[in-house]
Amino acid sequence: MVRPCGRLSELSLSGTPAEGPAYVRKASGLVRELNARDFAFFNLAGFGLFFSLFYWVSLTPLIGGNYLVGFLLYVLAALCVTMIYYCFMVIMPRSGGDYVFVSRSMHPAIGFIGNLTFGVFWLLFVAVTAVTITSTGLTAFFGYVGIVYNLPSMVSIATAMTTPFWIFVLGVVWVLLGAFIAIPSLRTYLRIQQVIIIIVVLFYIIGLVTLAAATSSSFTSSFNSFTSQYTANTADHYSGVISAAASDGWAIPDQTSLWGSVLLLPAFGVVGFFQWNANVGGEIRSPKKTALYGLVVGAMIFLGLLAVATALLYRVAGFNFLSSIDYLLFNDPSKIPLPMLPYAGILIALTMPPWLGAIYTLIPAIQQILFIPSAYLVFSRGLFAYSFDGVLPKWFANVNSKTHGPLNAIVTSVIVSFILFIIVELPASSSYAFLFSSVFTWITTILPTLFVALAAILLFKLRPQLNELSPIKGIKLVIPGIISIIFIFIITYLCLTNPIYGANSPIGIYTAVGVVVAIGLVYLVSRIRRGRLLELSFKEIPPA
Amino acid sequence: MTRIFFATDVHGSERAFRKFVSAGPFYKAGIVILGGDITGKMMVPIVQKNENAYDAYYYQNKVEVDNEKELEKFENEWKNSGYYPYHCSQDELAAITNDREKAGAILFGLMKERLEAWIKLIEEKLRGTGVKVYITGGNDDPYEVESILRTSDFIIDPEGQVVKIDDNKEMISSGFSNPTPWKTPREVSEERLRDEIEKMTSKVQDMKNCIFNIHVPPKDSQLDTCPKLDESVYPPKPILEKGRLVEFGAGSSSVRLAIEKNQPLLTLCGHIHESRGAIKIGRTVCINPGSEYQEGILRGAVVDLKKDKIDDYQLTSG
Repeated sequence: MVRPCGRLSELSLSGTPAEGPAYVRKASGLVRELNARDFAFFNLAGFGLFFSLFYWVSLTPLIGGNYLVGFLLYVLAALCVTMIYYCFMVIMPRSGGDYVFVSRSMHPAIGFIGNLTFGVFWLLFVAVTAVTITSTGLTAFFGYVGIVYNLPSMVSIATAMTTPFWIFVLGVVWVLLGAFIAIPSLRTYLRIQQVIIIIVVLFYIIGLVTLAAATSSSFTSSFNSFTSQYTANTADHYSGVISAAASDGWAIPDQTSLWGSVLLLPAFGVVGFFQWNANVGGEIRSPKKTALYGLVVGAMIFLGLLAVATALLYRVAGFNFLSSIDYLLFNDPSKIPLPMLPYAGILIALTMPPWLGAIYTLIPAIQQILFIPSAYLVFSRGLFAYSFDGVLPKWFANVNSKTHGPLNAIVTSVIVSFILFIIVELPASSSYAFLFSSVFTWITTILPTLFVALAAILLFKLRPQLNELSPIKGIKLVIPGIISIIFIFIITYLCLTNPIYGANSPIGIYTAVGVVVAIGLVYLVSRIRRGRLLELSFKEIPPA
Repeated sequence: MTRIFFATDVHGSERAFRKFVSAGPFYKAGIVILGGDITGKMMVPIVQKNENAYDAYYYQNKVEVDNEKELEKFENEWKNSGYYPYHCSQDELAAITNDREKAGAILFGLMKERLEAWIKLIEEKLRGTGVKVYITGGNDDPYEVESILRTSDFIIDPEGQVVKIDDNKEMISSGFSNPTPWKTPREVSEERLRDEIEKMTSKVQDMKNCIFNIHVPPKDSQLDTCPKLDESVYPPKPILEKGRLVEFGAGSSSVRLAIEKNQPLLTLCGHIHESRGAIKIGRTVCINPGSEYQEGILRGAVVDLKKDKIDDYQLTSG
């Protein structure tokens, strides 16, 4: 009963006409290249397995609380958020992520503000990363090699790399390298991403194995031996770190407190909710399957990997030691007997043979380098989507016929990130940059996530037809929406009321509010220029 | 200024078409143009089993329906997706299953019936509103569609003609396409397509203000990107290389050549549903609004035209 049809596109892989949006590409010129693995890896490139671990280990021991309870609460939040994003990606498999979801289901201004706020801070994070690749990544490598192989020149290099000159020079190199990877084509990026992420995951797992094989006493011995080579005395530096922190005012955080467990949420939340990759939704194949495995399942696996490593470090390095060294990191780093900042990579490397530890300390820097082109791709897809809808000039939506990518948007991303890099570099200090980035990570996450969660709650009411296309419909979608919003408010409240996160700093809040207001003004100008047509284009036409 | 609304490839979708009817007043467009591929492609036979129970045959699957209300809901969904529910007996089902010609004749009858109802609807809703309506066929539409459209004294079918849409804008229209793997009714060779376009362009008085309303997009324009299909099997299957879909530009080289040579003001096309977008070839803005008719969404483009130039355009999703 099916007569031949000329729709070349609507054919599912099984060769039968597709039911619903099985294989429908809805973005102009962009080619659907990403499978579930690419998509999951893209997510991993965004949140950074090592970098996220460093965050967790540098924050959670300072807070205390029950680690498992806090972690499970966070998993529930991340699961709800990723499920919502998954549903929207199936309903609207387009580039632009939450901008598209929110603009179609609520209002284009809300979608624009949420997604571009995220995009701007994401580029700011590129700028911060361009600093930290050198200041925390490479210094760890050179410092480690210098100490374990007794090469003072390498230690000197590690020290020199924390100076503004080298941070700036190398930062320019990282930004240009990221541009070099992102500009040629998505396929080129994906090839590089695949190699780097496989190496990253491999070494991450090696780290888990060596941590699992280590004991508390072997770690203490390794740490003392390592620091002795740097400080040229054989004191018990492990205990010394704890004593130094105590003399500076550190007290052992309560690990049994339920409130402490809830307080852990923002600490886990600094890595976001794993939904970055939704911005490339117009370039994934078979959205229903790819979004489920690449987004939801991938996120849960990565969360599991982070949790295991953190728990193993708690066991091997000791909670009190981690807590005290983190305290010194944020309050008095000069008392730490190391030539580099004591992030988790160094501590894990101490459980390895020196040659393996040397390679291990280099891997986080490599993963950080991958973040830069991945961020360019994320931001450029946002620009593409706004421009495609006419919110920004159409120039950004031009897709290069050779690269199949929005070249103008990518180049714009590179230029903006470079300007932001110069701004971040001005008061350069690695711990400042680190804190600055942690503030913005959660700010960037909460706004678009809040809007998408609201859209999920209201979808069945506002856009019943779109609701019907969702794999989770109606009230079943409302529940994760409500849970997500509860978590967002808890995290926001905790961040703003606890100085430990640095999020209540005036500079963080003013910058965040300023950017939101500026983006709102950009939309307003566009709305005035294009007239009501701009908003009508997002509205459903009442059928005759 | 003249505002036009263009949509295409509704493929029989009741909901998408009804939105098209509303689009002129909704977007305040004085001219609405529906590109080709207006008819649907699939019949859904429904056989009554007993008083309230039915079996519907949908994509080689049997859907069992328990009551009239549910059946009505299913039928509306199928109509909105562009399919044609058809009530028949078990014997007739067996007959049309084995007789493709008979099945084709029934399907054509259903298509004609829906198209006639649509014509009536558009006349009822838009006559006297000042909105001008242009509808053409596409490669998926049988040639008979022209004669059905031309029964209306309100709708203009501009196929193969140069028509003046306002004081200074002319429009040429063609529903032909270059060959596809699907062997559809209005596929022609690139040479024939070139000749058909040239017949019209030779009559255009002012190419600077001309609109090309041509169903198939220009070759390798990003408005024509779709998966490459293996035509050695039927139905054709997407070709994979190293696990990745091979994509290519399925548009027409004749259309591209005509645009490059004549440089009209605007080209409106469709055909490749997923290649929604707008590009420029020289001075010509080319728009493929794409199609999402199966979801009942009407994708379109609103274009504001001034003499010698396009003032603004907006892709829409209604």
